[in-house]
Amino acid sequence: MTESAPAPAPAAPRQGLVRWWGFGLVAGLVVGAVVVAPWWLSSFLQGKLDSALASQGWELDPEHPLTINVWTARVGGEGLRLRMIQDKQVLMECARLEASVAVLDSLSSKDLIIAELAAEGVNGSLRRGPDGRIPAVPEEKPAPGAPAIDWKKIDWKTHLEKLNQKLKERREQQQAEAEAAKAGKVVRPQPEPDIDWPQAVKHQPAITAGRHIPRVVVRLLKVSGGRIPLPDQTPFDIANFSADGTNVAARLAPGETMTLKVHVTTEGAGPADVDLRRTGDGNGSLTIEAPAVPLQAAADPAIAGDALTAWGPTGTAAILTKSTWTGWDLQGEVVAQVSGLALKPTSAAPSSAANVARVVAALKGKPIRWPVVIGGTLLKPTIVDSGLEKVLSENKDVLVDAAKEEAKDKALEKGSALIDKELKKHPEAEKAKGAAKDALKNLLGR
Amino acid sequence: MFTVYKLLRNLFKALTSDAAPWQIFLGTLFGTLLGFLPIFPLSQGPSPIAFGILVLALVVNVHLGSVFLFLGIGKLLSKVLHGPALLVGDQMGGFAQTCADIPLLHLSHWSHTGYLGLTVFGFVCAPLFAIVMYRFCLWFRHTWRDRLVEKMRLLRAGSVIDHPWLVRLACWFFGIA
Repeated sequence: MTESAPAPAPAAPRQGLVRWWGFGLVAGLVVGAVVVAPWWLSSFLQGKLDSALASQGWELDPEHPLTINVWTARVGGEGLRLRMIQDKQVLMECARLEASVAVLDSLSSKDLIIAELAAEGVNGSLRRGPDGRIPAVPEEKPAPGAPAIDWKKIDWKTHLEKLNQKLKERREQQQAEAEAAKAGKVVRPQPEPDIDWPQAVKHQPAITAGRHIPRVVVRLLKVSGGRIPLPDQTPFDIANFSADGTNVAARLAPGETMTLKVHVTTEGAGPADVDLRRTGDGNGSLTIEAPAVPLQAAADPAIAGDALTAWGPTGTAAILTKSTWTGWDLQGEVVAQVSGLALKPTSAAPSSAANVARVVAALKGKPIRWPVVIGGTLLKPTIVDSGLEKVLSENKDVLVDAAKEEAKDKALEKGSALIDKELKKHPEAEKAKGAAKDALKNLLGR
Repeated sequence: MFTVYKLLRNLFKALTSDAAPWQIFLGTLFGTLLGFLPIFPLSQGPSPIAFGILVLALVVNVHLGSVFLFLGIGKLLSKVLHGPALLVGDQMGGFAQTCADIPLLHLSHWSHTGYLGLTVFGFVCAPLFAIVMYRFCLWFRHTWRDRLVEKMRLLRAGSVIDHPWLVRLACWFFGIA
């Protein structure tokens, strides 16, 4: 009898350090991510756009959505309508929008480079609502204790000054940061809040000399559109417009040149052209030309307030603004050529208005050229020469004649009053009153 | 409730599986780290460190059940610990600023005060959980599993044992055949 050998113990599973099929799994996951990412990215970007619009109280009409195609790096849509979420009021319409991203350029430059942005049939309305608010302008919450904004009495000058001040402060801060970084000091930007976790902040890397700040550049811009009523009904409402630009960006790289040409036709204030040219080294030029602005349009209370309306000006002004800048130093000229000027003051005009109207009438519609030299800096332009002396010297003869006429009128008025006074003392000379006044008129050449 | 039940089943399957204790240890470590670290916050983008740990968890022969179990536990805990994480992150403002200057850490959101707090929790909890799981696994396998297996064998052989339904339930729950 032989004893059978005990069964061998089952082999322990092999437990190596590396899971070889894990590499395949990782590779599969990477491929899957690459395949799925564009769809995910499209919906992610769509969601981001929707939430960005919703934060302003706006939405895109879902019947005509904006399509984002990550594969072709294109964004486009037809019949787009931007509207208010609350009352569905349409703010802006666009018949066709097409944008393409230059992916390789963007990756190599670390900027967002849009190769082409074209929009056709853009129109909308910026007309104030019954409460005075301007659609598409986000509601600004007043600071604690500050009075609420009265949109009907909005003070554009103050708003522009505030904006100017903010831009100036931002620019100064950037300059100070760049200088401190050059000097080797550690400068940190403010931590950024996280929209998904509002109590938390994300610290940003210290600013180093020559660091790259990402920017958005539109290599080719083509926008055209139709009617856009402005906040107040004036002849300056836009009838149609077009804008063509190259390398459009807030910040330009060295060697880059930005050009932007805008042509606007207004409802009743003639056409206007804007020609902007900037270079990456901080130089630039801006020309604004409005060749035929009716003075009645410029005197509209919604444009000039009460300052001009009471004077009842008529005529046409050709306005040409030319300015160039090197760095921040501004040089330029605003030339207004007024033709056919006449004034018809109303009762609301100041007492001197009638005399001024008479002087202006003496010009007999002769064109008046008024050049104003501007200077200062880009953020704070100043008037270097008001140009009044030139206006006076060019029209000296007419103005002297007009002044003489004015003096004669005064003399006649005073002389007549004096004759009346004296004749009251001597009723017997009443018959000579007419002859005395005629003599006075002859003396003054009237 | 179902999630909790699934988590517990995974836990006990890990204990009764053929995985070596070191695999469970590493699985728990990676899983907990992945649970607490931000992987892909939508507003911030993907975290390279978290993705690196994920790749390690897939490539190194760790116990995947433990990875996913503790990933789930970690995510649940990090939801609960948002407030304390923010407190910790705010206290470590200087470190967060230093992380902002190191691209890998900045991209991995260590310069974000909230995520930094959660990351700290993750690095504290991960070795702790891993050691506990390692010890518990050894203890369970040497005491409870063998007893249950023996009782189940007796039950199948027709022997009468105390509380047979309890043994069946325990075997089902722990996944012991």
